[in-house]
Amino acid sequence: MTIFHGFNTSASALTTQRLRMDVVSSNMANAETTRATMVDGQWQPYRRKMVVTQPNESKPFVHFLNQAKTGGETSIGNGVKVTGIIGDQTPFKQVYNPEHPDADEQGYVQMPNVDPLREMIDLMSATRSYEANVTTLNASKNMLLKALEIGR
Amino acid sequence: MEIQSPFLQMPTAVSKPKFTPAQAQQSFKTALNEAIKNVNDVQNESAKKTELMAKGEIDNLHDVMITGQKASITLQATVEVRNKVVEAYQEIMRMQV
Repeated sequence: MTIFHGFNTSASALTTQRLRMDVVSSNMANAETTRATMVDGQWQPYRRKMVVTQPNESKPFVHFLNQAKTGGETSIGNGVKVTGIIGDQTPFKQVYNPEHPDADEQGYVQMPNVDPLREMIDLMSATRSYEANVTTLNASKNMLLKALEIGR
Repeated sequence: MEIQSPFLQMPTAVSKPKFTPAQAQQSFKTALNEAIKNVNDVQNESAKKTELMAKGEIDNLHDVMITGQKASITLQATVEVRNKVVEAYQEIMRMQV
């Protein structure tokens, strides 16, 4: 753990929020995409994507030893990491639109399970979280700069 | 808190130094060299990141900014230490003999 540990933690969070933002962009861009994957000769619509995150903790033997000795958490970890991007399993929207090239015999089209309102909320959440982490980073920077003023 | 006289902590007799002046100078030189090399490494990393950003090969802008901030803080800390050293030297030089 160096003096820049807080910086690195914040940096990992910033990277994660950027990725979340990119995923929201992809979902929004494909909100009307009906031909994303081909399954059994039939086009499937775009499936909404979600980001899975996990705390980035490397746990050496010492960590478990200290945990057993003190009975609590002993390390603060190295921030956050993205472990994967998974598809939202909610069913696709059925829209009656017989003119659509991908409509079935009854005239229904399967549309992606993307809800633009929800994506907007995700977008705001990612933006705000990014801002919050920049604030954290600036706070740790100011703390270091204040330390340099000791004895001046 | 009890305030102790500074003279209480002074050794009564000057103990024999562990290092010869030459040895002490040598170890100080190595420590200083290593510290400055470390600062230089951080600066180089920042310069490299900035160059990559100019070339458009970087995917996270905040990475560049954070590396720059790290470099700035390490340099500032070094300057602060250097100021203290020079101050101490001047204080000694001003001493009346």
